[in-house]
Order: sequence, then structure tokens, then C-alpha cells
Amino acid sequence: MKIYEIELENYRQYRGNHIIRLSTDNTHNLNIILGPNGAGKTNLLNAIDWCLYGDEPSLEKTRPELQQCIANEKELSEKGNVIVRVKILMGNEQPEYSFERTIRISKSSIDAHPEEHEKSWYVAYLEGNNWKSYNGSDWNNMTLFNNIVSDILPRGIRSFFFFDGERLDDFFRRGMEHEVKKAIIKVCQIELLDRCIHHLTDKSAELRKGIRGASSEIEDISKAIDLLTQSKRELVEKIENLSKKITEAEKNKEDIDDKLRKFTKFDVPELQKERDRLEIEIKKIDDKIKDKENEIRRHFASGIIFILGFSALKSAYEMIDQRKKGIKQPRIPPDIREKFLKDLLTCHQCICGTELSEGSPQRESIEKLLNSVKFTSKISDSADEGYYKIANILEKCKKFKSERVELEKEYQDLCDDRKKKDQRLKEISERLKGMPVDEIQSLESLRDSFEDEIRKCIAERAQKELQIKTVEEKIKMKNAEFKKELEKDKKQKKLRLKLELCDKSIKALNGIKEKVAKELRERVEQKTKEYFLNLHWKKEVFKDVKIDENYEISIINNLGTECLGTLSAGERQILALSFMAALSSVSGFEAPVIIDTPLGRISGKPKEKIARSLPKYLENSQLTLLITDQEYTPTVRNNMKERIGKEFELRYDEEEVNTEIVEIGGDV
Amino acid sequence: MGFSPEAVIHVEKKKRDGEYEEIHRSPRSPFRSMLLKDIFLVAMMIGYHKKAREPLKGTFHDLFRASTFNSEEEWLLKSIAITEKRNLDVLLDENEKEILKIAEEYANAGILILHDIIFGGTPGDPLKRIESSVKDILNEIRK
Amino acid sequence: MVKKEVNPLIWEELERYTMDENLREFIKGLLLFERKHISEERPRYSDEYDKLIEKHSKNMDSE
Repeated sequence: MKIYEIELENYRQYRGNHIIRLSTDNTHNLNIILGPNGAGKTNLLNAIDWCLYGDEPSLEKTRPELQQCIANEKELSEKGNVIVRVKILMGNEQPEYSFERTIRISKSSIDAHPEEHEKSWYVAYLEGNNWKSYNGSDWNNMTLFNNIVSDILPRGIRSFFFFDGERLDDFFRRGMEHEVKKAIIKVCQIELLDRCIHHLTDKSAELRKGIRGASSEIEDISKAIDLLTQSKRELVEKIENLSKKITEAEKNKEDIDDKLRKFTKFDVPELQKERDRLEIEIKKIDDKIKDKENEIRRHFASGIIFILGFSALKSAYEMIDQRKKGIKQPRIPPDIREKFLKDLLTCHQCICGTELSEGSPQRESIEKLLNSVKFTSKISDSADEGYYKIANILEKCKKFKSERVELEKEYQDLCDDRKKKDQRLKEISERLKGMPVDEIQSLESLRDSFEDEIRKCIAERAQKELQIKTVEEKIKMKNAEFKKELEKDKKQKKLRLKLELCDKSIKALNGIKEKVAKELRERVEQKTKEYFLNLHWKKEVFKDVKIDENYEISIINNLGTECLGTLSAGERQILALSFMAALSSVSGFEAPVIIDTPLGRISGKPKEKIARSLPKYLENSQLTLLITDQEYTPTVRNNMKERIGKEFELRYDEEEVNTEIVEIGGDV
Repeated sequence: MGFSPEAVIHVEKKKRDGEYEEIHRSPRSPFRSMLLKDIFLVAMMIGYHKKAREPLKGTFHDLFRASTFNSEEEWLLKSIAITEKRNLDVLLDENEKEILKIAEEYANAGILILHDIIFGGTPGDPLKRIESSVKDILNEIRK
Repeated sequence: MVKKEVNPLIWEELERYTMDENLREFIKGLLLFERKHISEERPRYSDEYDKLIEKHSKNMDSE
């Protein structure tokens, strides 16, 4: 899917009518829209969002004076009445969809507030060779328009196709696993499964409440389920809020760290660098501590049953040992004795010649002897086996304690190491707080308070997560009770079947959700690695990219070490772009990609290196870069030349409050 | 040698749906990732350690086949039976049922104790509490 | 290429998951409904869900 044309009329700084026709050639599918800050690049992206989705997510990046009113200010102040319109033409090998959104704005005087009037929408699509079109005058009633947009690119995942390059770094800051998880989950539309589960749960509650003529036990259980479900919803909401707080605090903390790294006075940057290094090391130690705890737990679980049974094992061993010592070694081995006696009975004659006729006392004596031999030899065989097996187990029990001591020592060493590093972090913090510069002192105190908040929220979240699990167990038990009571009442068979259907579906959907999320995470991991290693200019340095089950991203270099924290800004940008490309490719949608400020906050040589990689980025997609002239140096342009389809320049006239879109070359 | 292929370990159905299920599934249980066989063994040994043995009542449930015990676990069960009966006769094939019955009865009492250790509300790590209760045994082993 | 249906990953997993066919068809119906109304924040799901539940719970009865 490509954007063929964007038409703007009086939208923000685009006064009058402007059309931009993008390159849709399959090999020259890179469009450059160049302009200084404030020229209107971000508002071009906002215009696309406004037309398709009715909102402007990047508005805060616009000049403040242009934020107040969607209509072009100059046009509005001169004419008092303005139509604002954005139209987008999209399609694959030809235009197939046309979307248009319009609003009339008026302003009675200079000081008056702008007023919104008629709103309308228009959508047309190609069916065969004919265009079918629909329009409406109510933005609250645009189901057809919204459905067609959603078929091309659902609202929930547009941010992986239209995005701000400067914000990409957010994914890879410490503590951003939540954002990474959200992105991955969003892109595979797990939301669909969530909606089904949510609606089915509500339906189940509705069916339960609608029960008529049921016993009081059933009603009581039903009420209990309602209360528990409500309790669960409240806990889920609290957890979401805590996660948001943690993300926000992590971001704020990282901002402070950034400021301290760039400080020029005293040894502040060095202290901050040391702190960065220590925090990475502490994270690694925490993982090792967790692994060691699991190892100790596994060792315990496998050995404890024999420790508890030590006295029984020892006692059985001694009994077998006594028996072995007490039995005189027979001259004839057991199996031969048995055969020998059997043969005597068969022949009806003893070895001494005595007759062994049926019922004779001699025969009975030999039969008795045969039975005791069988008996004894079976016990002996078994006891012999037991003797060695139990001896082995007792040996292992002796080792249990020393193995346990060894594991505990290793665990303690890790904890001590962590303590030391924690102590050093405290020292660094104290030194920074003691610096004779107000700004440093207040930054460090603020950082402390963010850390406190993060710690508190993490602890509270863990507690709430445990509470949710308890509530879920109770809901499960109550549902089972409800089902049992319902089964007793034959009149409720229809209801029971409906509830069973809902219940089984919810279970299946949860199972599918878990598997899909895992599969998706693995696919995104694999694609991110593929793109990253393909885009990076030093391929031989990196070996692997991982996204673990906690959605933490790590980069492994060719020495086998994790090195995300030590990537340069340029490398992080490449990683971020790779991640976005992975998300968009795994989503299953083939929408155009628009990146605002793709070279982010990169400066100097790395910028040129990234630019060299960009032509390879999402080669099969139409890619539009909204780029500043500082980013678009002649070297950068040269590196992207082979793929450029069209170049445009945005020229903003401050007096006229108007941006002109001028095509400047690179045409196919 | 192993137990015969048709031999089955029984538990009370009520406890299978109650205590066993909770210990096996609850996120608070340190044994949540273990097989039911392993949970049975821990329950059995806790019952033995606390000298608690309770005959099975009510509806029985087949928890697993006795042939799934490995040889060390098999000899643990047999050692307990030998010690209980003070006799090696229990090793005969025809007495296999007796070995399993003793194991089942210790587990029948032990599962309640284990459940209480994990979910009873006493603060602290349940595994550490079990471990501290076997300190004497560990000291004896060192001698 | 316009994506009208449910994400193929979800569809594949739904096909792979062990369940009876009546349940699978029921879930497919729900997912298609939700996909159709994905752009709505609060879709009116009640009637459609009632219809599907009524139909597929009857099929449970006949098994």
C-alpha cells in the first residue's frame, strides 16, 4: 500500500490548497520531505493522522502559535470563515482508496475563539473498474470510513508505521520492557483476543444474573463471583496505573542521568559513567542470584525426600546387612536347590532312594523345604538389589549437605558482591549531593525520589499481582461450585450449556493468547536481529539480538557479552529502526512508512553511516522521511540517492503563515 | 526390579481436587512446577517424618502408575515398608500392595501437613521451614 | 494488499489448538465480529454474542 497524493487545504500552516504527489515507484520508493524545524514536516504527519483517524498525535511538536486552531490563522483572520480539508489517495499498483475529512471553522473577531461548524467525511474505493463512494456529515457516525481505514492500517498499530524518530530511543532505555511488551502485543492484534475474553466474561456474568427460579445457593455463589470479578478488574486497573508510574519515573530518572553525563563541571560525568556501569552490573548479578535461588530450590526438592527418609533407609540397610551376615552360604546356589528339589518330587524318589509317593511324610517334608527355598531366594534376590541401591542413596544423602553448603556459599558471594556495588552507588549519590553546585544537588535529590518511587511501585505491583492470582483461584473455585449447583437443577440445562460454552471459550482464548504472544515475541526478535545485522555498518561486531520472556532486549557482541548499555547513540537508533521494521513486518499489514526526524539526535559521522543503511531499510515499502536540512547533508543525500524517488522542500513564510511544498528534484 | 505395571498409587479424590491441585497449581507454591508424583513423595516423607499416617477414606483417585517411580524412589518406599513391618518379607511380590498402601497412608496425612506449611499463613519461605525441621537429620548424616 | 481478516498468527494458533469443532467455529465467529469492529472503542457486541452463543450452545447439546 502506498500514498499517491496528499492534498491539504488551510490545514495549519498550509494556507490555501497544496498537493504533494509522492513517488510510488517500486524501486525508487523513498520520498524525502526536507525542511527546517517549524516548516511543517510534523504537521504533514499530523494531517495524515487527522484525515484517517481524526486526531493529531504529534501536535505538541508543532510551533505553539500554530497549535491553537486547526485552520490556517492568517486565512481565518482575513476571511473569518475557512474550510479545512485533508485528502489522501492510496493504493497498490494504482490509486484504490480516497479519504477526505473536512471542517468549517469561523472566527467573528481577532480576539474571539474559533468555532467549529459543519464537519464532513468522504470515502471512495475502487471495486473492479468502478469507484464506489460514500460521504457523511457526522464524524461520530463514520463506521464505513473507519472500517476501510482499519482494513488498511488499524489505529492501534499506526504508530509502528508513522512515527517520530526522536522518540524511538524510549524503547531501549532501562525499564522500558513494559513499552516493548505493549508494542509487540499491540502489533499482533492480541487486542482482538482480549476483547473476546472481556466480552465473554461480561456475557457470562449477564447470563448468570439472568437466571430465573434458581436456588438461593446458586444466587449466593453468583453474587460472590460478581464481587470477585469486580475486585479483579480493580486490581488490574491498579497494576496498569503502577506500570505507567514506573515507566514515567524510569524515563525521568534517565533524563536526569543524561543531564549529569553532559555536565562539564567537576567529575560529575565520570561519577555518572561509573554509576551507569554499576547499574548494568547489578542487573546481571540480580539475574545470577535468581538463577542460584532456583538451583538451590531444585537441589532441595530432589534431595529432601531421601533426607526425610534417612532413618528408614539406614534401618532397612542394617536389616538387610544383618540378614546377609546371618545366612550361612548354602553349598548349593538357590536356583539349583529349587530345581533339584523339584526334580526329586517329579521323579517321586529322593537322592537316597527313598520313595516320595503322594501324601507320604517324606514327600511333604521335601515340599516344605522347596517352599522355604523359594521364599528365601526371592527375598535374598530383592534384598541384594536393595543393599546396593540403598547404599548409593545413603552416600548421596551424605553429599547433600556439602553440596548445599557449596551452593549457599556461591549464593552468599553473589549477595556480598551486590551489597558492595550498592554501597558504591550510595557513595556516588552522596558525593553528587555534596557538590557545591545547586543544580547537581537538586538533580541528584530528584533522582533519589524517582528511585524511591520506582522501588515502591514495583513492590506494590508485585503484591497486587499476587493478589490477582489469589482472586483468580477463588473465581475458579466459585465457578466450579456454581457449575456443580447448576448441574443439580435440570431446569437450568440450557443456561448451563451456554455458560459452559463461554467458559471453555475463555479458557481456549487465554491459551491461544499466551502462545501467540510468545510466537510473536520470537518472530519480532528474529526480525529485529535480521534487520539490525543487515543495517549495521560493523556487522562483524555483533552476534545476536534477543528479546526474552520479560520483553527485555539485549544485544550480544562477538565476545558473547551483553552490550545494549554500551551502544552508541547511532547504534541505538539503528536498533530502534530495526525493531520498528520488525514490528511492522510481523503485523501482517503492508502500509507505507513515514518517519519524522529519522536521524533523531544523532550527530556527525554516525548520521552518515545510518544514512548509508537507510536505502536498505524496508526496501519493499514506500518510505517517506521528514528530515531537517541539518540531517540531510550532501553525504547523507549521496548515500540514499539510489533509492530516492522524489524530493520536496517545505518553505515556511512566517509573515504569510504559509508553507509552500516545492518539488526539488530526484524525480524518476 | 520396579513395581508391577498395573500397580497404581491412590489418593483420596477430595484431596486430589483440593490440596494436591493447589500445591500443584498455585503460584504461591514452591512445588508448582513439580510432577504430581514428586508432590506425592514429598507429602509421603513429611507424613513419615511427622509420624502421621492416615488410611484412605471415601472415593479414591488414581494419581499415577507406581512403575513411574525410579529405582531410588522405589527403594525409599520399600525401606519405609521394611522399617514399619520390621521384616524383609515385605519385599516379596505378593506384598507389593502393602508397600504401596503404607506409602499412600503416609502421603494421605502428609499432604495436609504440607498444605499447611505452604498456605497456612506462617511467614517466611516454606522450603526453609521444611529444611530447618530436618536440621537434626542433616547433623546426624554428617557424623 | 489490504488486511481484512484476523492476524494470520491468531488464526493459525486457533486451528492448531485442540478443541472441538463447534467451539472453534464459535470462537472464529467472535473473532471475525471483533475484527470487523476493531476501530470502534465500544462496539455493540451483545446481540451478535447472544446469537452465536444460542447457536453454538445448542450444538453442544447435540454432541
